[in-house]
Amino acid sequence: MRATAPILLILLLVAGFDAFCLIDLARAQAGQVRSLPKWAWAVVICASNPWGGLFYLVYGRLRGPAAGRLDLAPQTTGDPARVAAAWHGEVSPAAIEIDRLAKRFGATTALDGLSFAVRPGHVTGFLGPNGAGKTTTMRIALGLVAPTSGTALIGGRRYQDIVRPLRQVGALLDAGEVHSGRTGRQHLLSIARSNGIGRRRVDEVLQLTGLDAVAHRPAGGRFVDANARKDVLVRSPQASDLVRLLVAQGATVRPAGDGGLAVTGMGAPLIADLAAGQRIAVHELTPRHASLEDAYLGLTSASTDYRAGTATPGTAPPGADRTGAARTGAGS
Amino acid sequence: MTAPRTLAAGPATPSLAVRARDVLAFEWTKLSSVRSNYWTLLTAAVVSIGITAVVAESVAASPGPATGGPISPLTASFLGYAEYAVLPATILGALAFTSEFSTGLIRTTLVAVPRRRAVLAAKAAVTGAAALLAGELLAFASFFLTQAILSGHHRGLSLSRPGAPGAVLAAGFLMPVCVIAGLGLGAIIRHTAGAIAAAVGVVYLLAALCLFLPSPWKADIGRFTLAFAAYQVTALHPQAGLFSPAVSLLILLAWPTAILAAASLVLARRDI
Repeated sequence: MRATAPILLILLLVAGFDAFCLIDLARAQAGQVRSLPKWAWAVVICASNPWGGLFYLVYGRLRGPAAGRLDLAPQTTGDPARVAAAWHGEVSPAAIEIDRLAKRFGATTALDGLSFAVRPGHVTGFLGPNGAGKTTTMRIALGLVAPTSGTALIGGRRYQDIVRPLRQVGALLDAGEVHSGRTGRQHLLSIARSNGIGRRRVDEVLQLTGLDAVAHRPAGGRFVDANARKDVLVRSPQASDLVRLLVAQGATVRPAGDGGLAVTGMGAPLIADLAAGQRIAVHELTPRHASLEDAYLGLTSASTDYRAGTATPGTAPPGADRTGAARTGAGS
Repeated sequence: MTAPRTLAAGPATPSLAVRARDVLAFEWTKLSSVRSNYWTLLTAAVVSIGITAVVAESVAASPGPATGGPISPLTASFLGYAEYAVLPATILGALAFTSEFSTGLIRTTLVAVPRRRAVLAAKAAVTGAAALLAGELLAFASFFLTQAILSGHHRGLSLSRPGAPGAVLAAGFLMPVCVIAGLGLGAIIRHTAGAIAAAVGVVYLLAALCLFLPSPWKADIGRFTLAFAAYQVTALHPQAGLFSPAVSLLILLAWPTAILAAASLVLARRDI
């Protein structure tokens, strides 16, 4: 019996140590503490106790979205109701949740305790002057920049922990961030494949956005600026007459939402001359660049309400909200 | 108003193998869709084959015994390849990362695949595999071309000669080694010019510096460099004083491994 006591003691110590490791691992998963990397804990657990290591691997494989990873706690900080929801597999009510986010670059403080939540189903603008930290916030939310403190969660998780994130989160920080040696389609295809999305869907999306005609051309900022489809926004009380006139002259005309017409293939001065010649009144004549933002807003206009936070619908002009949403997409 | 799909109701989590395939396909699509990469490889092939032919002719024309000359027929096979094909390949490797940093594409990449080590591993695997294929093709082509020219002067070497197949395979292996060294340095340094300078330094200049060292140090320090190790693994008669071919092969493996490990640490921690 004399030999039993030390063995029991050792087993107890090992079990206690393993428990400590697992708890720390779970806390690290939940983002509560900065801990050793997961693989380091795996090594420690395996070295101290092969059974613990086996448990870690098997449990991780059965449970976690990532193999060999413990996903004990989806979220253990913040609002108790939300924690409970997360534990029961329900998604937190906020689509994007920024909690006391701070970021310092050396002596510069880019963010100082920013907190906000974006609710699902709302187009939310994110405004601020240059240097306010908008881009930094979005880069942190997308896992590109590590916060000095605080958390940024998308659907209750860190972006880095979402498997195949592009299937759930759409993000565009800067449309110019492409390699001009690739065509638009190749660029899109590579990104699609990274998240297990097939070629068919790529072609489908190109068609849907009307980009299929230029998809084989080099992607890149310069190309977009030089050759982007420019159009002119026209408003007229005699819209149908104007359409007939411009189409007869070879222009392409399509509705631009809220009663305007987007005219492609013809400059604003020529449109003005033609309209004047036929005595068609023209209220507004704005040359503009057709942009991805416009395409996005056009495509989503039917399915989304534009609302500015707590403002009652109707008080804010639709244009104001659109600008806000566009700014969120563009970053700056 | 349409309610967005909640995350919990998302598709089933794919297995590790499927996700690895996703990232590999991602990197392969990017590598294979940039035309300059093909031009780089073509340049490497044309230059190395051309120089190999010139070297073989001059070795064949030089007086001396068949195998005891200043340059062995085996070493002569790889002069053009090792000195002129590996350099553009190293630059190709460095550009794999620096082109993403300079265009900002790296942010697009890391938003698509936030697991940075997976991106690094997939890039190294895809670029390294392409380089291995190209390297082996060029090494065998250089070998057969040289021996065809030399055998006209009765100095040729056949592939059945002991040590020859291993040397040719090892020579082909040189290309992925340098490409991955360039790729890792590109990930660490981020700027094209700096990464290329560092990669050329690692691949060529360290060995060149060692050549200027006094005698015992030349071999003692030089044997750790890529070029000395490359010489040992491709030589028919390895030099005394340097590492054996087997250890030299480990040196060849150790350089890209160490650089990738450093890149992995840096990439995981850095704000992009």
